[in-house]
Amino acid sequence: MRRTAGVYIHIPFCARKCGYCDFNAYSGYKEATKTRYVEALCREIESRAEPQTRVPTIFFGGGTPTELAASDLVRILQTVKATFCVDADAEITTEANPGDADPGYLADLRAGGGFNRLSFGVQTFDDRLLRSLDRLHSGNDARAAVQAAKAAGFANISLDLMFALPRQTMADWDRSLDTAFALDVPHLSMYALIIEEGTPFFARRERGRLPLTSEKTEAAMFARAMQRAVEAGYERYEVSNYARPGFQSRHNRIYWRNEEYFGFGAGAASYLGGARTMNERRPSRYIETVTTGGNLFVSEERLSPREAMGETMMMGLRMTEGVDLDAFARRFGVRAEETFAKEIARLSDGGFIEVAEGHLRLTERGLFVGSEVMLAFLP
Amino acid sequence: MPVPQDKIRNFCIIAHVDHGKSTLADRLLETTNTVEKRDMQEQLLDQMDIERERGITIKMAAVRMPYTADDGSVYELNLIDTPGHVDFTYEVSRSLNACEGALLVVDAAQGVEAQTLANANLAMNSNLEIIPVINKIDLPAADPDRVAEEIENVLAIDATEAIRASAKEGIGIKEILEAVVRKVPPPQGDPEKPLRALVFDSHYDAFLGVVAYIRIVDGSVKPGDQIRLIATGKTFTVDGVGVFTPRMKAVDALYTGETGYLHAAVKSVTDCRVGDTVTLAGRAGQSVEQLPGYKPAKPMVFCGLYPIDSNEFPDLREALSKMQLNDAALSYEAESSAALGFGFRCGFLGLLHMEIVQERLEREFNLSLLATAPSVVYKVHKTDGTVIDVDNPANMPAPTLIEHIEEPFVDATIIVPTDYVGAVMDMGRDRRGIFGRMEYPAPGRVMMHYELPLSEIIMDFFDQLKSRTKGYASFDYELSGYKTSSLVKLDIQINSETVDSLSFITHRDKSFQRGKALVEKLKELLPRQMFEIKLQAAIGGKIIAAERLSAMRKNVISKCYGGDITRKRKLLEKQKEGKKRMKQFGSVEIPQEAFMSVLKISE
Repeated sequence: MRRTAGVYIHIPFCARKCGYCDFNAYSGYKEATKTRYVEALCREIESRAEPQTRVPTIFFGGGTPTELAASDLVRILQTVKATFCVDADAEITTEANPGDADPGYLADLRAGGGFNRLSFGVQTFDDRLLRSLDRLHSGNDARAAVQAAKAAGFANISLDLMFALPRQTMADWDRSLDTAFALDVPHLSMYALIIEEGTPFFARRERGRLPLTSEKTEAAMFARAMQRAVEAGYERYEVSNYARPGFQSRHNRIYWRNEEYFGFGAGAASYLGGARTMNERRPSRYIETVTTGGNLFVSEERLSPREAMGETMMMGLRMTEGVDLDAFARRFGVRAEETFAKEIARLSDGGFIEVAEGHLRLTERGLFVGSEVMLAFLP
Repeated sequence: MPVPQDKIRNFCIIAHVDHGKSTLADRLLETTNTVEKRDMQEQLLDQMDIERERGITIKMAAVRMPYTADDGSVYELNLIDTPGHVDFTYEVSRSLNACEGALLVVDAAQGVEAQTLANANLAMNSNLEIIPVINKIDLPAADPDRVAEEIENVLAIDATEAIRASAKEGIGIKEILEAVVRKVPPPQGDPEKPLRALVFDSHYDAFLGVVAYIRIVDGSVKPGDQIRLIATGKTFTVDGVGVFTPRMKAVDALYTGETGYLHAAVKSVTDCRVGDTVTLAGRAGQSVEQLPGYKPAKPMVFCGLYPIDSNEFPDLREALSKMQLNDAALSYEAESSAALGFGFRCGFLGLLHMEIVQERLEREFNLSLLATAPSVVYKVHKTDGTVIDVDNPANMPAPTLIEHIEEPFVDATIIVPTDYVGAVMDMGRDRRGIFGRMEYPAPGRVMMHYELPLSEIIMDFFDQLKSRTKGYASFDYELSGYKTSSLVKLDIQINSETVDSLSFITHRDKSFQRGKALVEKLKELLPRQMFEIKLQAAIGGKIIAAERLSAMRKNVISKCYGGDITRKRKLLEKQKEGKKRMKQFGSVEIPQEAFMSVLKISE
């Protein structure tokens, strides 16, 4: 049977790495290394070619994909198109740094390359907060970037916003939301800051040097975002994602439905045939391994049916629509309502989940404590 | 050939903790060439790791040292080590009974401390010849003259001939050995009489069974002898006898006045208890009288030990039974708790003993345990005229069935610099102490006597005392008996249900304050849950304090895409594991610290 899979492309370069970021991203690589990386990335894609596999979505993430020349991004995209059966109407996204978004660059991506969706890492429009996050762009850069993207012909634009930032007040958050809504883009991702282990922010928090947002304020900001986004005509379709009708991220829905995807590039993760694999993380070693034809996977995990069920629940519950119970039964040969009868009973009694329209989903109460709900389904 | 009885000297070293007992013992072993210096593990007499880590001696050893004295004769010196902690007072008194003399070691800078006094009194009660040693004279703060005066004032021991020594620097060691030979009397006892020997300690050996440490009072013992333990009435055949050099070394026989060991395939130390008398089985030993002072070990402090993972219950049972082979003072009995499931109510000699046992269970048997707050044994006089012992607050009868309750008290001695008298007085009041008298052993130092409820000192009394006196206080106590107190059982309710293992007994006057402090503490300790939780303290159904722990407001991973799935799943799995390590009470998860918080709440 022909398989269908999303494609993720990782570009691990950043002009500067942000203090909260725990992604596989590096600053300070020379142009020559970036060129060799693009070469290696194209070779990896070609070496894993599956001309029969249907690809409905392609997503360039990072790092900062726009650290590369537009021509490099287009070349990589062409390589995917040459080696996989990419749908004619495929969703093709790249993340972009607002500071890099000049009209010529964006035109090269859109008209010249076939990219049709942009995701800007705006985070906030407040310059003071942007500096505290180590971002190099300004609030005005972000506004300009959106205008430039529209001018270049991008209709499908998403902005990333963050809340629960150190020293961010509710008034600050409201102003960010005002500006974002005024820019009139069809998609927003609004994340609470996560302080991940191993980041400079984590170290600062450990030393007591990072003002923390209380759980109460974070919850209030989350609630405010939800309420105001709905008033502005967006629908919340995932824990942190909002879209106008027809503009949900098709690529990300592949993850949340626990479907298959290829990941190309340093540290990229793939989920194919029930196995999760991850590529060599460091760009230099990635390049060397691809060049010498070595084994690129640094980890490979073949999931048991029980683990795959747990992940399907964990990811599916992130979506507002929830887990499709018939699809679950078709996939695993057992019904979630039976396998998880005890957990479902306890959590429904508490008012955290509900079964409706053939889906098991979080209630609003459950959404706020989603992690507690999700872990009930893990082995 | 036996060493002539008049050339044998049995002695011990008694000292306050840290006054240099172990270092002195090491130096004696070196000087008599019993142990070569290069073989000397630091402080050889302390056998177990935990002892060495804590710098205290729990298990005793008895080392034989050959010594050629200035008079030209060769003497057999037997150094009997004694445990240095109040929990083991009974063991100390037994090992003192195996000796004729004691080296009383006092730190030249610190002076007489509470344990010095307690141990010296024990030694005097055993009629030992006491040789005062003022140790650490090399310290800059040493003041041997003042300390000599203290020894005379406080202990009423002639300190004019006190030996001034530094075990660390090897000063005065020869003088000490000569004093032992000259002053300590040789053992009395009749070699012609049937065997009579004191068991002053034992340990369990996987191959030999119980190894009993004995002092021969009359007669002799050799392999093949049929022996009887008078208190337990058990008979055995001796497999081997020997001496500690300090390693175990077999000998042909042990004779009158000597110390050493015997083993006879005894399966458990409970069959060969410390303080028991060994004699010959059958007619030969029939008329032999038991040596005085035998008491079976009696646990004073109890706590519940529960496996965190309920599947480990059989492992815990197995571990406790193995521990008991080597520790006759440990008692255990299966119990169950609504909150904690199946576990054991364990009895200990005191708090230190309790901590050591817990640590060994976790370390040596790889168990993960939850311990409930320790409790003393209450004597509850019921309205029907019966009296019951209650060692678990959960088993306290309803208030209407209780006529009155008695609790154990101790006589405590605290020695502090005069500046801290006020601090000690405050603590005495907080802890329901009855002030006895005050003495002034030396200028600037005060010795205070208190009667205190045992329950008030079993948790953090000594820590508090140390911190309130900047570490200067020394403290010792002995049990004095039971007294009637106005006590109540305080229950903790979570969402209106009593958590049996959090109940505790407290004085009525303090119950309000402690109930309030405890629910506040629990509010801090309990993780927020998906529901609001009501925390209450109650006495006999009446709520005296309440707090609300609001529900968790937000806990959802904000970002999860293709590259994160494995990591986020593992993160949640780890959180789920963490919950499994907490005890589930209804829908509420209770972490381990909550159970210990009961007695640790600051006043």
